[in-house]
Amino acid sequence: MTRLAWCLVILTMVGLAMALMPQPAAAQGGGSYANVSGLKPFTAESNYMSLPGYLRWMTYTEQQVWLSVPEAKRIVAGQTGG
Amino acid sequence: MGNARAWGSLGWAAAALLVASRGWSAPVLGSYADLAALPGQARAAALEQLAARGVSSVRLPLDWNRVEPKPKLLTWRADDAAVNAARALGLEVVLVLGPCATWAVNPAWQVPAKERACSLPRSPVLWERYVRAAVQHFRGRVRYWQVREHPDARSFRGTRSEYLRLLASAARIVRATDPKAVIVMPESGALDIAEVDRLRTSNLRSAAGVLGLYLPASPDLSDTALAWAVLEHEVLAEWPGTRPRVWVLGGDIRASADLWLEHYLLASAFGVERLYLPSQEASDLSLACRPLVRLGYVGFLRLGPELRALAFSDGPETLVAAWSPRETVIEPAELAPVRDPAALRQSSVVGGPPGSAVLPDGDPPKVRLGPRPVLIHGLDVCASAQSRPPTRDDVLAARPDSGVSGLPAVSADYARGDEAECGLYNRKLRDRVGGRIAEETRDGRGHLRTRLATGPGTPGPENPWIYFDVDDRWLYLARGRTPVAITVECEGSNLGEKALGFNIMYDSTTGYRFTPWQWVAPAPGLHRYQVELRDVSFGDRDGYDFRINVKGSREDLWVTSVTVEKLPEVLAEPHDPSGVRPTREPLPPG
Repeated sequence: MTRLAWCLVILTMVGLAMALMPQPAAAQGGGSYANVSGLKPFTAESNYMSLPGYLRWMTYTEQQVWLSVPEAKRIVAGQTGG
Repeated sequence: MGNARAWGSLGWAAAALLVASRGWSAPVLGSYADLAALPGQARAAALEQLAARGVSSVRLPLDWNRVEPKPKLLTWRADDAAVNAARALGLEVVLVLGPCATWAVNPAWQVPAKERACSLPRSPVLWERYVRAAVQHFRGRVRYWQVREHPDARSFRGTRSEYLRLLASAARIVRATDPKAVIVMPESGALDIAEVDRLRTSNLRSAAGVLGLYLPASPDLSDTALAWAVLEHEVLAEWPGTRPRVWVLGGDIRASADLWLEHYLLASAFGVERLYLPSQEASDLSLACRPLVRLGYVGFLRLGPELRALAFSDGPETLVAAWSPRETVIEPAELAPVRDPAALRQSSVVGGPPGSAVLPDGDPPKVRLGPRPVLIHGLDVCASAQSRPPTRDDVLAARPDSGVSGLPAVSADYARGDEAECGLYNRKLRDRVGGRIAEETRDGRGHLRTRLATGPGTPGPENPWIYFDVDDRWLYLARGRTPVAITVECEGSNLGEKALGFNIMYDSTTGYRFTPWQWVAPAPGLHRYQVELRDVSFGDRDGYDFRINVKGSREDLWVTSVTVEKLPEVLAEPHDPSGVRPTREPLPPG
């Protein structure tokens, strides 16, 4: 192969590798979770859910991220200082 | 005239001195790339390409999973190669600690396997061991250490306090291991100045030497400029002790090259020290940015919305960088007196040949502007440019006058048809998730109506939220210093007691939080409910200031008007730490 062909191969590899790199998340808001700690669980204001359940529903609706139940419990406990 | 000119020159010299003393040079250009994941030849080629195009710093993820694939099994080969290759080309390396080692995540948290890297370690001991080992290994080669990459709700599955604990322990270990090292603290949002303000008042404010911010996805540079202005002149100006340096760590990877160039120039005006491009675009973008890297910000001439123009020094010369969201033609003398017509004819589009922005047949020369910035030469900017970063007032004064800045209240009254929104806006927010609502008429009056899925036959997704943005001229980033009252006027419930209610999720000084739930009376006609808020931020976080939430009701809410009014700042009663004081009795219909 000629030198030019080798250069093209390397540049193609670089382009492919750069395209496959993990990227920083696009900045679209969604900085952190809403504070649900002031809501009353199992009432209308938490849509008759537990607070972790309400946080899971809201996070999925807004961010398309499903928190696990233990994660949501940990986050709510952190919000309430517990 | 001669005296005026002399004073102008003196002013110019003073401005130049100020610029020199503040170091308002253009941001260092950087790129984010996982070079350790590339084969050696591809890595070398990528680095050479970046270096040749003006990039002088790279942020590299030091993936905990790669460094410590199993507990206490440390391997540095790939990251050593990446760091050494970058340094060999003169690039400064910033290492990003994280993401989380999947084995370090508590299995009891039941985090899905593919999301575990977004979680956090079950024990601080594991995290500190990784941080200490990394800093010891790269001491002398790496000075800047960033703690996680953009820890937003998607990439950091924990609370802000959990993140801050990771940051605090990393800062302690980094300083103990390498006293010359500097911690870079990324924000969780996108140019979320309220978050920076919270850090200012916390005991962690000295932990980070560098604040890492991310550019918002919005192409509206006026919002971005406003956030920069408040950060520079209000939040950082009040920073106790040494104020942190500010870097831009990234932004929307889908943003156009022109928008990145505009962001780069704007960031220059606010003393941003570095700007890192997303890797996919870095090569082409850095090539475009290259002529801008050597510029030094001098002052601003126009702040939009139709024309933005900033003055820069380029060695001994000065030039104006100008752009417009739409294609337009201007006479450069509109910006500043023409000093050198021959130089003016060399004005060029960024990345284009000399003269590429000048119309061929104009006399005096005319310049074509568009979204891609143009560098205009030959103007005497001394007397015309405001030699400081724009302030909040400067940015707001450049916006079309909405006429609301001096009003005691802003409102949205949908009975008024096209003129409904006066300083309080919902119509522009109707593409937001859960907020795709419509205006409907009831009893001859315009209303906003939510869309709850109240029965099996209800079509489509739910839209239980009514978003609002308060006009920035009226209130922006209140920092808890301006109490407000929000009044909602709505139709009564049709289904009886405790069938219809709402609360308000609002942007407070501590993030989004809720007001107490308010039931709507089961009586015909309009009802008014008011809530007082003492801790509002209203900093356009996520693009809105508050939203009415009816999820939990059994029927839709019909809102005819919403009013936000400022309350006196001196409060006779003790401050309610909850920040919220609901009105005890519903107000009479207005």
